[in-house]
Amino acid sequence: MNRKREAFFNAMSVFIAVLAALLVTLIIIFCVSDEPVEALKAFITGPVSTRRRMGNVVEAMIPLVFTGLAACVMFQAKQFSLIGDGSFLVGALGTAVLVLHFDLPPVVAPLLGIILGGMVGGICAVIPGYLKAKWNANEFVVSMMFNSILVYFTVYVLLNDIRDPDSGFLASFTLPENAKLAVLVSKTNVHAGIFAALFMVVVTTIFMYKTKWGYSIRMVGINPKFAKYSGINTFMVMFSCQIIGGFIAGIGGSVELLGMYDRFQWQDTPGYGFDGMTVAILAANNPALVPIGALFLAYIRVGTDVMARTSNIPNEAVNIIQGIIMILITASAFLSGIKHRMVIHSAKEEKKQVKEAT
Amino acid sequence: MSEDLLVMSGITKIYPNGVMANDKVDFSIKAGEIHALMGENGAGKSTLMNILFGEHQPEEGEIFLEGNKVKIGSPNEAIALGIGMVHQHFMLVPSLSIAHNIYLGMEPRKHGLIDIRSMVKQAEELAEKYNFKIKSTARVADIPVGMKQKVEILKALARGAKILILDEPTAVLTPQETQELFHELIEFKKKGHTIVFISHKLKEIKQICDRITIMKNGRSMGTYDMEDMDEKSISRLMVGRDVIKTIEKAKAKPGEEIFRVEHLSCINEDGKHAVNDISLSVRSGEILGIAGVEGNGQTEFIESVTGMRKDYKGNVYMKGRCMDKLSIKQTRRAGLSHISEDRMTLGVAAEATISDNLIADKLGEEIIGYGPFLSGKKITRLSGELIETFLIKCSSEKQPVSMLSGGNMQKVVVAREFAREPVVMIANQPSRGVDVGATEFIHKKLVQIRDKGAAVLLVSADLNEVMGLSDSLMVFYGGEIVAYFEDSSKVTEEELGYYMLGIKKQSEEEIRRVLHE
Repeated sequence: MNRKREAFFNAMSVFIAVLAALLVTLIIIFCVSDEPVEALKAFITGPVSTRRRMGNVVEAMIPLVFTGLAACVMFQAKQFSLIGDGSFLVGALGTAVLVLHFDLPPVVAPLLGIILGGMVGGICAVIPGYLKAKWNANEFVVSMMFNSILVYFTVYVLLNDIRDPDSGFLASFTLPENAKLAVLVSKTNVHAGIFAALFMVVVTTIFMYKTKWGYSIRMVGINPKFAKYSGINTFMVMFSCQIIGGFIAGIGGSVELLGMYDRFQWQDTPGYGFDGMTVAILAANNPALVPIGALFLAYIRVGTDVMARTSNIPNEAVNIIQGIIMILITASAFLSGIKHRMVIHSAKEEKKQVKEAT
Repeated sequence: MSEDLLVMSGITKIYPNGVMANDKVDFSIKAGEIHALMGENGAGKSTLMNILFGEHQPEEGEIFLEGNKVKIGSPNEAIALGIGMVHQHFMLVPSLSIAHNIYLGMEPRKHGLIDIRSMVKQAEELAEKYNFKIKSTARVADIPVGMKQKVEILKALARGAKILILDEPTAVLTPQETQELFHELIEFKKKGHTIVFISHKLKEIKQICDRITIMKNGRSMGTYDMEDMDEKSISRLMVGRDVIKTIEKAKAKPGEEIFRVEHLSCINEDGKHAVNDISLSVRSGEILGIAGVEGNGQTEFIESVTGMRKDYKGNVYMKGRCMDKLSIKQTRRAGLSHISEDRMTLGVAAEATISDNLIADKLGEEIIGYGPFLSGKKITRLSGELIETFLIKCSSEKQPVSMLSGGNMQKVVVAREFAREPVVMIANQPSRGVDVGATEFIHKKLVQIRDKGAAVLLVSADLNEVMGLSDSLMVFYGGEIVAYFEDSSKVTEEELGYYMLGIKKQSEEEIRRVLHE
């Protein structure tokens, strides 16, 4: 089977899925809106119509890059873990606790906060990672249930340790200015976290494709039996890839908190872990492509937001689009018929060649 | 005899991974016969029968039942046509009663609920009709294996099967249970049923079958009347030589002992004693061959000595060092190379590139990069050298292995395993599914490392290979060594066949010579 054709098939299935999802959006818009053309225009050009909205796209993209990278690492090892969702939340919590308790100087405060956030995020993944590697407990189920433990742990810490009793709603004390990430572009909230995100893209890409550890992760994902036979420690790989994923997601949580918020106020996961899975699928699990996937998702997020505010289409439309993309891309079987015919063709060719040779 | 009841003609099946399991196979059975389908593992018997039972769809070929062309799209359709199959691995619900298993999905009903009383009654009537002794209210989880098989057969009969396919039915049975099954099968025949009996046990087939079809490498080797065939002619068709070609090698000069196995036993996943007290020794500069029909413990034995399986009893030594507690990585670093029999599951990561496949066992070494990093330059250089030395036909080292032909894929495996001068080379079916040119190449390489002083342990079901390549030879049967020949060139094919099929066995003393004590 030709390599170019194989790549073409994979790219095509993502493209068709995205197209189908947008088509459904179009149908929804025409069904529920009185002024569909206006609504469509808001959806498509809205995000680039003002500087503020462009800023919104970039702001929405930053956390998606982190959770997207986290999902890439885990998906490459074929570990379908949701721990990124919990690690993101608890990573941010860890950062909040640190910067509220210790009076740290500028630069040091966000740096330490982010590193701690990553470590806490990694620790969150220890239990699901170990259970999977040691006893083959399904990582999807374990991480999902473990996430709800992490949510209540977060609420507990928020209520008992960092809650500001004078605040009108349930939130922590105000985060110190020293810890906050600088805003880069005026009139927007685009913050220095974008550098951290791009830095992580580079680091993760190098890690996956240029280190022995990343290589082991990829091999375990492609064929775990082959990895074991070759002498790769499959236990450590399965255990560690969830921890690395949790680490990256935890950093994402810290960055999001320090860049976008004045107080820690999440009482549930903000859901970026799930969005990260969509991003990873769009990027075909390649960390280098994650920014593109994240940008796409952020763009349609902001687009539907603009549309919801300027027309009478509900914001929920975006969730429908996302769902359809996920379903269509994961159901990669929809081109398998053609693929199978090509496999048969090449098997016959080969047989013919062998016969001629003998 | 009557007309052909069922004809399969020109069946070709290619699996999604590109393996051609059936290649234009013709197969026919007559009404009221017991028809044996014989061949080694991987010869394509099960594939052919799965097609007949509607579980796989053939790429080419037609099926005729009583002269009418039929299309069997699913097992349900097969059952509707009166075809039933008993799989090697039982498909029963352990928590339900025997009666319920027999009538699963077609339970008698009363007021919309399952009528258990009449279900039990029906099951007992059915069993009585065929002289089966079963207690139909017992839970399937509590009954012995032989009984489970009866339940499977009754299940097929309850669904009106006229043609019954039995996939290696005796593999799980004791000799007594086997005899009981045979009586029952002969009863079926008298009642007008037709039976297809898959097996590779010669004696059994001789005992009850009327005709025999032999398969080899996905092709049919012909259908014969049982009375015209003897054990010898069957074994020749089943494992016999394709092409006579000699493997060029000088006489071996065995040195000191390098690899030693003592009293190795292990129990496999089915709970059977797969390997039973095997001891052997391989010396430097010698190729020790293991012949035998597949499934006689070779797989489990190789898994144990290579560190893939740790639940064995006994000891494995390499140059006097005990290997039992070492990880696979440590075993490999000590100089053990392993060409696996199962290329697609163990030998390669098919979706990864050629160079990714070549470096998998060298992660701790600087030859592919310093410290934790991989060096693209070094890997390209190493891959380029190996591709050149091992004549791997490819467009570049970045090509995914899945795009290579079977022979080139195997060369990738061989290149990786030969890259670090092995002290011990375990080659398990090194030329399976590989074209003639690649086979010759792999053989040459094996002889080369032998001459450099490596100890080579060769497992092969291909007589041509194992006889031609080995210096000394042993035979596995039923998880034991049944024969050892000091000089493999002095053994005849016929004689080997007797040992391989369990007809003859050497004495303890003769076998112990393999230890060179």
